[in-house]
Amino acid sequence: MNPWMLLKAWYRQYTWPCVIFIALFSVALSLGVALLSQERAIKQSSANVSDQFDLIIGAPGSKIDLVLDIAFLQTGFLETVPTHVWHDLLDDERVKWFAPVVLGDGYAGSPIIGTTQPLLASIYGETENFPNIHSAFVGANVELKAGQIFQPQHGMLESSDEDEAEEHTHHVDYQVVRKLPITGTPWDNAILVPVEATWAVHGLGDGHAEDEHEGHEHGVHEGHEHEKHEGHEHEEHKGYGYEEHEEHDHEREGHNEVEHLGTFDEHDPLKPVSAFIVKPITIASAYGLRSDFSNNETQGVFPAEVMVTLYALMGDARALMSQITLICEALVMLSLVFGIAALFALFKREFAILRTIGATRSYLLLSVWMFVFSLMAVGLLVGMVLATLEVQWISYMLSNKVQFNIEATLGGKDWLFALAVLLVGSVLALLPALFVYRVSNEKLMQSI
Amino acid sequence: MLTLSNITVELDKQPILSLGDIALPYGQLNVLAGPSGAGKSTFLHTVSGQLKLTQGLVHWQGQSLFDLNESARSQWRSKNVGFIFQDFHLIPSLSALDNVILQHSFSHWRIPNELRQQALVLLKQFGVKDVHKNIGQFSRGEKQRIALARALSGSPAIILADEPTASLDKENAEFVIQQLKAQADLGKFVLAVSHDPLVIGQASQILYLERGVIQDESMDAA
Repeated sequence: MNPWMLLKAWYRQYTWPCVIFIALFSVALSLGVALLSQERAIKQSSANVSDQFDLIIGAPGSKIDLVLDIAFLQTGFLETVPTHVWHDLLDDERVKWFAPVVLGDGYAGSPIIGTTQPLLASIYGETENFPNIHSAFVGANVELKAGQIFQPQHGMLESSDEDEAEEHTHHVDYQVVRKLPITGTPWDNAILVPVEATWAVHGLGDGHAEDEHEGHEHGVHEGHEHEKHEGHEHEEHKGYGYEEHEEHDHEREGHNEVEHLGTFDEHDPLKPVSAFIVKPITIASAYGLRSDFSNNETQGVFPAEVMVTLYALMGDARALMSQITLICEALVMLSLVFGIAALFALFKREFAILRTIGATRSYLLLSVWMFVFSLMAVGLLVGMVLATLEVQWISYMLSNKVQFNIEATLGGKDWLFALAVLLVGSVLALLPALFVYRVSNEKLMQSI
Repeated sequence: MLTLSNITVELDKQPILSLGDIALPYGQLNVLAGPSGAGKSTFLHTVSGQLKLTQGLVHWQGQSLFDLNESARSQWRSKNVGFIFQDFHLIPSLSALDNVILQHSFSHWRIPNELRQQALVLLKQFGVKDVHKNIGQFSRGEKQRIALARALSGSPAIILADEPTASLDKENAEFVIQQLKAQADLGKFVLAVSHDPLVIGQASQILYLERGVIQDESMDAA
């Protein structure tokens, strides 16, 4: 037996119901697939972000907050880390490199991060150091170009009120010297400045010992306010001539800060930072450091470990989400299948004719099953195409929202899910087929 | 020979057909007449094995039809019986050719070429020109010619026609009767349910059915 000829007739006869069936099925399927694919992509993308940081040392508190604030640059409130930690890290042989992270200021929605060169090298592969204390490197998504000058604002001001903005603005200038390469992480939205600058902007000085400045050639010191404060106790004004309401000369040719910025020793009066990003020499060193820095003053956190905890929580939700999605798909299919069954009930006479001219019950069963199943199979293919588009669109929207790159693609798991839906559908497709199969000849014959 | 023995058919426990012993031969036009609701169509569905008998026997050329299970009766019908209906009952979304050969897809994965060729010959013989046009584009007369081609496709030995001329003009009705007679002349079993005087006038044997019971039987009306 070959039901194709009959199927061809039904496709023509019920074109619109077929189109509606395929559309509903494919949309329901695509949403389910896109949802699961997106969840996986978020997990993978966030793991990619956190994997860049081996160990974060911050003040005691929520580990999740620390990871979100430092790795994902979410603007939360972090306690500062005591300054002696810096000295401790300087002296620790288990540390390959470390870099401070000072949060607090922002510009046009981008966080300004005070740090040192090793972090630039680690995240962006940037080999150069900040050329001077007024310099800023900006992430790929920051809407600032090389050469542009901007003034930082305290906190992440979102208001468009000019007076409010003015109130929160630090009247010091940063000049963009370089646009950093794309990383696909929230750090693409970051503005990076020398850690000394973030201290100085807040009137904490630059973190370098007095004699150190004298021993270095800082062109920026000369002719600036620094001389005026020499010998005074106002530490906040010492250093690089950072003073609010002051016009700066950005032409700093010949100065030699680059050798100095980010380089500290045990004599330097270091200032508080939000956290340290630490690259341990070995895995054993990492565990040792985490243990040693987990006390009542600090906490050491492996971001990957924190993410695993988060994923474990998400994992339960994911399993539930998968089941709910599958149930929703099944309900959609069930309603569609009943719609088809109702449609066939209207065409009882056609089945009566087919039975009269010799069609067996099994021929009709196969025909109806193949009809519904073929619609589902087409719906699956259309649904997967739709899912691909939806995934790209949702990824784009989410990436903009969370400020890091979420790259979702349909993989084997999504096709398996789709095939599982089709398998359930193939069973449900038996319902209208059995409905037609079970109708008695007596009832059918009454219709002709 | 079609032989019916002491047949009773019930629907919802109500007898709708009650027949004694009847024998109808091959090779002639047999007509079943009677008023609406008399059970004429039920008679056709019974002798073609579609309705279950409450009691009695149906024999075709000596073979007891209801000794076959339902699936086997369907296959027997597909192979041996050609049906013609008053309203043609063609599949509207198929072409004329596809309607004629559809029944062969019940038993074949690929319809044999000789059956396809035969269908084309029948359609041509009955004056159906564009065999690939959809049924909806044909006139009523043409539709009945296509239905006639479907009934004769595969050369079944039995032709059962239910009011085959009721919805046709005289010219088309005469054409259908002529074809039924021709099939009978070929030695086939032909039974037409009809109260059309044109059909009755050509009948070799007439059964008159009323309220499910044969009231009268006449021979050689033609």
